[in-house]
Amino acid sequence: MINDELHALLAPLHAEDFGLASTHLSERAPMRVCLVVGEGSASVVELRRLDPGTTPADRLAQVRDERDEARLGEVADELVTEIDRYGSSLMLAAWLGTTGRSWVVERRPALAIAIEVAARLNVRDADLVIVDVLADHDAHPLVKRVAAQRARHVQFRDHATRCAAWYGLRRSLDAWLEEDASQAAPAIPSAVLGDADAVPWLLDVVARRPPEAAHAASLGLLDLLSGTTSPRVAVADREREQVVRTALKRFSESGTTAALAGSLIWLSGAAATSATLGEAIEGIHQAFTAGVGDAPAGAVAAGRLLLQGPLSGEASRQFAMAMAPETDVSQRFWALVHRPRPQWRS
Amino acid sequence: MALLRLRSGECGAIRPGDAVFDTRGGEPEYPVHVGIYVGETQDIDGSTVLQAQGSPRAPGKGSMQVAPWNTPGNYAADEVGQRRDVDPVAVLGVRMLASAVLLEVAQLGSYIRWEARRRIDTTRTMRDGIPLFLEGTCSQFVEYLYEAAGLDLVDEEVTVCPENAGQPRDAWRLLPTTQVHAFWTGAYPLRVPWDDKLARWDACLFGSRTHDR
Repeated sequence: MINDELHALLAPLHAEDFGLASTHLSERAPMRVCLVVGEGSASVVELRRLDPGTTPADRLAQVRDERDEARLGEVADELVTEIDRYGSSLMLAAWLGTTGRSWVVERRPALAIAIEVAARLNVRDADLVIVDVLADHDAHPLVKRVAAQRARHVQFRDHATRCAAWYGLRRSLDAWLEEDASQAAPAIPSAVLGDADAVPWLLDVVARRPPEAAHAASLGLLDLLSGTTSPRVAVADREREQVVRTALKRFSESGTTAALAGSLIWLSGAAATSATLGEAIEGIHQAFTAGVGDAPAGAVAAGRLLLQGPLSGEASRQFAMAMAPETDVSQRFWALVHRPRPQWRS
Repeated sequence: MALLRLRSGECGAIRPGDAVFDTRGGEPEYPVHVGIYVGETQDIDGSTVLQAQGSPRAPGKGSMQVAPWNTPGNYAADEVGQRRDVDPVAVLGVRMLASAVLLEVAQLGSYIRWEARRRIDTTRTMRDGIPLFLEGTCSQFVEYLYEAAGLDLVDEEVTVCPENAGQPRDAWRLLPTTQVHAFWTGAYPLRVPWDDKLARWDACLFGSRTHDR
């Protein structure tokens, strides 16, 4: 029942990835395809007939030799809209797994479009291309910058692939940090790909790099330690203790920017263990009452994390003790940390 | 006041995280633009240069950035929306989140870009669980930051723009003028039946003005 067009589309995909059991073309809706995924579950993928020249592969082919960044950016925006309109994300996934990987070898700047679009739309199969780009010492700088920043927003098929991406990313980040911290900053939170292995590297950036880079590293650590990465990462208590102490030490140093002050204190709340709870609460209290920049807001965010986490009982007791002498400070803090958080809907 | 009317000659203190509105109709279809003030607390008047961060005013107008408002070629700071009903630290949280979002702005193309449809990906989160804001209008971005800080400005389930009828949640429009009205009345989140005046500058300045300070 599979026609040539459909077959061409599905051929580059890995059947085992989808657990593809069968496909079916209905007579009445000839472009509707049912992919039976796994046992007892199914997902329906609707394929709309595309005009010639409008598939992701066609659009990318049109700019395969383009080098102008502004033009590449325009095409990236257009492609997002078109893939949304035509539901052709599977086609981009197929392209990434085939032509995309050959474009890495050919070092085509236009590959940045495919990576950027895949990350925005959460299209699978961008991971191998990103690994290839990050491993390539001579990859086009734009492609490398896009891959390094967007790596944290794509799905990796397994731990080994994530690790491979992290090794390549780390080399790029180290080089960028030596040249220009502002260039490195957008990519630094992608270090979460290294899971717990990335903690010492991120901590080093927090401790001794310029504020812009240290801020980005603090946010990367916050992503890791607050459990919002996928997969969730277990970080040993000993390392968490180092995170708290490094963050508070950097906070106490001069030259901290408004943004860095906030992220350091926020991080201290995410990382605190029973051994460092007292230090974290002291730092949070100080940041809330006399902190510069975003530190008071960071203190509220950190307090909320502690009061909702596994240490909530002890944290509540210690916060109460720390703030007891200052009634109005105490009232303000408790009112702020208990503000309801939103229930997000897409 | 919860709405500081700089263009009308008022002056006062601006705080990090306040909402700044340009009402000069630079684009006929997008008469009002809004961004987040990311500078420090200071006394201002209509000529003070203000650093503000926001999504572009209209389609094709670039990507999110921090820009000096009230300078030639930039937006004008005409009105400042201030949540005077809450602790300033709560509003400071808006700036902190805005700074965290800046790291997600694209190296290529214009993500975070202007798009009538808001796209928030709740399956991919950052920091301590904030969903990624991928696309949207200037007002949707401001609403997203205020909502993330627990300071929702407009209850879009109740105050529903008619053009949203029958549209999925992602496709709902939120107009800056509706947010101006929220600051004007000082009732948060704004929960009133739709009134066409909520879509027009300066008709949106109706009802009692709050005197919150």
